[in-house]
Amino acid sequence: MLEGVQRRDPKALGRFFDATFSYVYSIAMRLTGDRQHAEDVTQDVFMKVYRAAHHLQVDRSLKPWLTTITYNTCRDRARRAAVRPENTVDALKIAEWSAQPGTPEDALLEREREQLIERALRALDEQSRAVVVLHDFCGWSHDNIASVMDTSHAAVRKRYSRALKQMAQFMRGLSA
Amino acid sequence: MSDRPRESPEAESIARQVRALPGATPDPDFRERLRARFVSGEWESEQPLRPVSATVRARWWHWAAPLAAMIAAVAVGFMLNRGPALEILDVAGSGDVLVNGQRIALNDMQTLRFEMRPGAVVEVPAGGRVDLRVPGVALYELMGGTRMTLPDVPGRWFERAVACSLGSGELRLKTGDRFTGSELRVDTPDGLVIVTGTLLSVQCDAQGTCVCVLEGAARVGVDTSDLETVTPGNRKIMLRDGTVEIVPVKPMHRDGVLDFDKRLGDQMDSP
Repeated sequence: MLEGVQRRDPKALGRFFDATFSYVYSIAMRLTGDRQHAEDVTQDVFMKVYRAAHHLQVDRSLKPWLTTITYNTCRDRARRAAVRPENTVDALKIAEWSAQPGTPEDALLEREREQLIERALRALDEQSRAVVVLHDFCGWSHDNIASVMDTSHAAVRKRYSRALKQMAQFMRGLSA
Repeated sequence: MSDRPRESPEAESIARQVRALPGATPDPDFRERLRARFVSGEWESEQPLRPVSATVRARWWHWAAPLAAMIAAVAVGFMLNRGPALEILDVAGSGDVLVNGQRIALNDMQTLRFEMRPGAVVEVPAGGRVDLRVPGVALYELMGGTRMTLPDVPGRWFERAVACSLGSGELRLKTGDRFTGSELRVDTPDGLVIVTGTLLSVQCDAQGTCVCVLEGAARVGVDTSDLETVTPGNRKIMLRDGTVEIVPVKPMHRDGVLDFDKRLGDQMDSP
């Protein structure tokens, strides 16, 4: 498939898109906390991927590369626009949730917990949110995060610890 | 060394919940529109290259010759800027050194000299010791059990700030006269040390990092925003539980660094 993407073969591009879109969009959504910005970032990422298609390394894992492009695109957008995510639950998610009559109680509780976590994530500053998303959602090590954020391992660890504490405080406040 | 920080149970629970978050659900229309654009490449508009005019083609040498001269001058400058090479002064003890994952016997000096270069990831066996030197610039003693990346050599005029990382063990270092004006940054899992001219040791273990300064001074902190100057006779401790303090150097630490200085101090410069 990747060789087809290098050649910009439409079928290969379609398969590539189907395999990676959810991942890129999810990271963008977690990092920006805003649907519109996540869509803009996702579009930018795929445009960059398309333009760099001939440079794709077919023997290397794509995920780290895609994660880095997505993170950098989010960061650049945030710097240009001083984006501050709204601390509200995603409207589409509420609509989906509401549209399912008779949902079992367990599923409702599960969604409530997810929404609390998402709100707590959105309440963090941009850098702290990025560290938590890259470490826990994308599974990156502190060393990799330090490398892409151009800072030290120790700084990433400190920021990560502080971010988790802030999220815990935020969620205690919401639950009270 | 585990990458996972020792967080509180509450924080660990938060981290688990973040990991368990499902992928975000996009707007289906947005997804389909983007897919169509990506597959068709409709955002890629290639402008035809403008033909180079005959006049411009004939005059290319007007700018090519000075450009080539500039490039040559810069290349020579970079070559002359290179400082002396990192060299192995001595080794002691037994066992194998791991250099970039490759096992090399501690007494195989020829291979060690070839492999131990700036940027190499080195692990000294528990019973061993490796002494390194950049003539006139710095002396390094890597104690047994040390895992680190070897530092670059500072340039003579530019690229004078270099860095290395210490994952575990103890690194003792002394800077020489030719280090003046340079800066060495040592990153550890708990913080960083900025060395501008000193005799010190950096120790890193499961509890945290300790920087003992005997001469000169070093700036030490958890990150670049909270660097503190540590003066001779003092050490800064940065523990994994968040404790950070500056206290006097203990005799056992001082004696170890003084032994290093006594043993190698007069070998700073090439014979």
